[in-house]
Amino acid sequence: MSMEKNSMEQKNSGSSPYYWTSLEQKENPVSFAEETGGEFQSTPIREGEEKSGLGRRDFMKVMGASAMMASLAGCTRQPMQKIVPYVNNPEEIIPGLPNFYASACPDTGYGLLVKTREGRPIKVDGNTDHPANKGTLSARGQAMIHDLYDPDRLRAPLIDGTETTWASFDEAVKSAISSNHDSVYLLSSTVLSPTLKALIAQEGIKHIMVDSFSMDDVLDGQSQSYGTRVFPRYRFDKADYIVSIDADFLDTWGSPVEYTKQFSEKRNLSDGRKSMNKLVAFESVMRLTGQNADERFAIHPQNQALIALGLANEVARLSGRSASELSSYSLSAVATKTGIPAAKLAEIAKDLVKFRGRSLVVAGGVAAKGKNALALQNIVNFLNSTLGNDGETIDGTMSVSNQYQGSYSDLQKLLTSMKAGNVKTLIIQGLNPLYQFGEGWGFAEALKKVANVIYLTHYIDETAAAAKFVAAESHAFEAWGDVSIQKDVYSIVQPTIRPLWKTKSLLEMLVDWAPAFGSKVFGDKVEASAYEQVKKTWKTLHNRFGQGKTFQDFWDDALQSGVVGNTKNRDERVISRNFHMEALRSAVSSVQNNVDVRSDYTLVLYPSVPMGNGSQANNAILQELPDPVTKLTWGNYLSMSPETAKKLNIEDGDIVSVEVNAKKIELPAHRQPGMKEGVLATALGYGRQFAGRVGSGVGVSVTNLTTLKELLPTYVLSGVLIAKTGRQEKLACTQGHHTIEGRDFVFETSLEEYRKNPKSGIVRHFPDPKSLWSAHEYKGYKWGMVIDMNSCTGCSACVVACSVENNVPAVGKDQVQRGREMQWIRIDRYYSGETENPETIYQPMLCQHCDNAPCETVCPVLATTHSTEGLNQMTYNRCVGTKYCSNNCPYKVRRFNWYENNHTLNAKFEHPVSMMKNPDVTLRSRGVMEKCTFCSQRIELGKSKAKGEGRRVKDDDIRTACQDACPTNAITFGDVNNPASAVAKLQKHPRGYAVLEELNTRPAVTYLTKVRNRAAAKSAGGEGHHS
Amino acid sequence: MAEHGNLKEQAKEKKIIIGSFLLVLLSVIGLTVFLMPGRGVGYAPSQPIPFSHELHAGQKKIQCLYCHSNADKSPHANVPSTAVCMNCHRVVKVDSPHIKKIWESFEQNKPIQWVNVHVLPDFVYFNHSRHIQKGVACETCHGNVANMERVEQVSPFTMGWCINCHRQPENQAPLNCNTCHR
Repeated sequence: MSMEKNSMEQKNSGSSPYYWTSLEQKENPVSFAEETGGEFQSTPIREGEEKSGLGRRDFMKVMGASAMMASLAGCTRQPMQKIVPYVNNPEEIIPGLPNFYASACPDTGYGLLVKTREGRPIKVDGNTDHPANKGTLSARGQAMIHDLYDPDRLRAPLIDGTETTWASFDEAVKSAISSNHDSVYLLSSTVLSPTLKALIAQEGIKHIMVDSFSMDDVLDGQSQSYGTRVFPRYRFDKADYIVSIDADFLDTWGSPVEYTKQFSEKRNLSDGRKSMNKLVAFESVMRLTGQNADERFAIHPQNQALIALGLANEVARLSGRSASELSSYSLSAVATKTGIPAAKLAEIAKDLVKFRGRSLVVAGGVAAKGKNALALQNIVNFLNSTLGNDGETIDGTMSVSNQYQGSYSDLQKLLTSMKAGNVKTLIIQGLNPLYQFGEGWGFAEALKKVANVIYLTHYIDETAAAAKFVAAESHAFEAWGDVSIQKDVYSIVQPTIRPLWKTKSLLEMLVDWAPAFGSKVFGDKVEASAYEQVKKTWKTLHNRFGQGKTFQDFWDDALQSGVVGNTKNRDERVISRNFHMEALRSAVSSVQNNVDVRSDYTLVLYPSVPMGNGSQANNAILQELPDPVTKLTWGNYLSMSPETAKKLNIEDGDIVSVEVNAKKIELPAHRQPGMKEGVLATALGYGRQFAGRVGSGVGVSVTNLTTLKELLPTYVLSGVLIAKTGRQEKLACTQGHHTIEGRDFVFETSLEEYRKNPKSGIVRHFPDPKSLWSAHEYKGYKWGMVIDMNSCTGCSACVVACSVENNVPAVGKDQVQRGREMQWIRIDRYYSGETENPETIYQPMLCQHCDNAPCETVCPVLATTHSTEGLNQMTYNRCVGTKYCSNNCPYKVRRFNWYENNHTLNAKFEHPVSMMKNPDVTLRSRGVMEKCTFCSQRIELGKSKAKGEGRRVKDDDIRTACQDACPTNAITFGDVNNPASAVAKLQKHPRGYAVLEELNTRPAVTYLTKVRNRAAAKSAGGEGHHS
Repeated sequence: MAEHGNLKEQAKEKKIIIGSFLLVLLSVIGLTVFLMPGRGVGYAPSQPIPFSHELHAGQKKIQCLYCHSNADKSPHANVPSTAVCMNCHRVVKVDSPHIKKIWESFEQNKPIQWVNVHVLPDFVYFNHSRHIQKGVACETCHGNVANMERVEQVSPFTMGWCINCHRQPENQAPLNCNTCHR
């Protein structure tokens, strides 16, 4: 099959670069096409199999007779079905219609909108009224529903490993506390709840907060530079020029959903806009942030501070505020040490100054948390202050973020106290220390010296084994609480389901244990329940924000809208802060003293988008969510540049041993374009041993490689030794299951070219193809979708949202290796350029609902047909599984159920898994094809609502799950026949094109070209490109 | 040679006997199964409480939507909760043994388990409220319920029967597969 190479050579397009979807495809296009050219990567009959074992035809002969008998057995009297109504139907529930409740996420503080059916939550989205996330969530947030119904959740509290009742548990805890209630410590992740904080203070509990991924460098940097230890509110919505030094703000750093939304709003080119923001990224690991940058530089992690110093020196010089501390960091000096051309750095510095007050320099992702982490922050703070950004694109005073309040130095002090035996009672919540903290930190030993360990958890996990009191913790949807994500922005956390098991929240536990804390607590009365306690806090908030309303009205409004506080007019009141030059001086001297010995290999640890800190390891949807950058699932791996791999003779999947600081782990290798030679990277959050049946044993834990000696844990490790073990593991990668056969899927252009010609970049090889049969007529509605590739950052929230909304199953690592992942929408990754630093375009690919659908014409049983409204509809009960349709689909968006993924026929779902399924969507059985339906259940509900009101459907009536989930509003859906709809207008945008137009499938999905903010398209070098 | 022939013929005979026996057996089973009443027209199962629509809807003229209140709001038409029955039967006929069962359900918080008469397969998503809002009378599909002592299924509720109404042009009803099959 040399089709791929021939078609590439025959192509004669303009200047479209050559796109490759994976290294395998780039390096061996012919053999790659052969391997993946078959529709399915496994066949029922392989060569030679017929001779040994049972061939397919013999099987049918033998089974034929009994199959006939079995079918007769199916003709039985149909079983009696019951209808069981309520005894007393709650007023607000109409069975069959959803109820929506506003709530908030206790961990991130984002506003939530929880959709419930008959009293159980089945879908969660963001709250559109919340100023931070404005109606969207990350991929992990979308998957929260599955965590609630996890059958492996702890169902009752344990004492010494034995299940007990809360009455006994509370009694035991209270008697343990009361004898030493002034030596009670709470070690938790950042607490956003004002109610909880007030109660903790009232009870005299000593509270140590620690963030899963330390932000101590940012916080302490702010403290040294400006005098207040705050996490600022970064205003990407005001920044026109952004420089990121390893701050993966579109992946996991800071408040990624908020930043993604703001960042993409400034890149939106619809509505006739002709300008965009510009992002320049310096990255040691390939992350979404760098892939969405207009200019990206792959760097060595040890050079982060140097780059910042070079830029700072030049910016200071250009701004007329030269700082003598920076004199040794001229651009040429930095260019020599880092390998980045001095001219480039000069250009960036010049642009930063050009955009003063509208620019933003951010630094400090986990990959930047090495020895110079704090220095880097101070230098960047100096840069921002010199550029006048503080007070404009950085809010350090008005509405600062509360999301990170941890302090690892506090943790170190706690460890000392614990080891000295001064901690009698330790409550742990929101952290899994015996998994997340490295062995070398000494936590496990110190814990043994604590008399009473009370551990709040959802599972019997790594830390639960070492805790005397294991308190079964309620899920965020099961308990009352509140959060304040930013200063003066408050939301109530309201439960949407009674606790499924015998669990409680920390707030409820502290309320119940209050008597043990002595009389002073009762002097300042603790309410009888967590609900009353929250209301108590909100009475004070009512005084601040609820003038003119009674408390009950204020409370009801807050419950309904989901957010209360100072969100209007806060921009005008942000003030800039004075930068303390002392901070810069200490930063520079720290950099000069902390010169890392260059070693051959440096290992960078980072949190992955699907797994984060590993607390959701038992969530199959997240394990199967392809990492947005690597498209790998079910485990972590050692990323390295193709050059490094070549030097060591390592191929993808080779298991490599990594040794650092006398600790050794083994990881499969993954060749990742866009990394500097000698830089290795791997994700944290994997290798859980006690995570439940899904998460245990997936991946390799790397936390033991970290040490906690200084300000924060070391995530950048030098002096690494790697060696091949000779063993292999097949990686489960979802990119590389299909060939693109030399066809054009994505188009891009530069801002300069776009301004001259909005259609630039689009190449139509066969414009205006003719059709054999007449077009469909759409007299009523015609559903269409527009996906803006300029907005899409690749975050994959849409993938998870679709899976949750449509009951899409996870199939496991083995099946993903065979290309059988079930996700209805996938984000295809297209690299262009060289492997040292390629550019990337992300393209969400879903069923295109083609007018001339190739799948409809070949179905022998008419299971897939075209609706009168333009949808390609799928009727599961007719499908017999010939798979001809998916064979014919050029976009490869049809997914086949090879196994019984929804155990309705063979066995009942294990309780409570059946509760999380969306009742409006069929559960597909084995042998049935499925694909994106444009959320036809939502379309029907929206149409029904509009018909009931006697009008046509408007834009807001129907939003597909992917559209709702997308933080960047990349997906627009609606009625194309309605000229006032957003989709009708966007489809006419000059940047619009249909994928594989030349096949004349006439898809209902229009894509808008990617526009990069730079002068002219980079000429694609290297072999195999057309020009 | 003759023995071979005999053997062959004997084997053939055996096959015919066994085959025809199986055929008869299967036919008997098949016919029995097919002719046995299951769901379909005429299905009138007995209910845990012998509620009479003839009495309540016919004689007392209680509106359909008084009890089946969600039929015009939700895709699922509901069977009334015990509380709805108690609205009247707190005071009406309190001594009757059947009413006592309602009281039992209400006081012990145990719902009454009615037997579903009009059962559609799981792969059919029928939207009740759309039909009511379109003005389709309850009797059109459910028959003259106000005359039924015990509720009986009078329409076949097969796909063909649904399509027959949908395809009448004056009804302006959708005929797309995904209208019902999602």
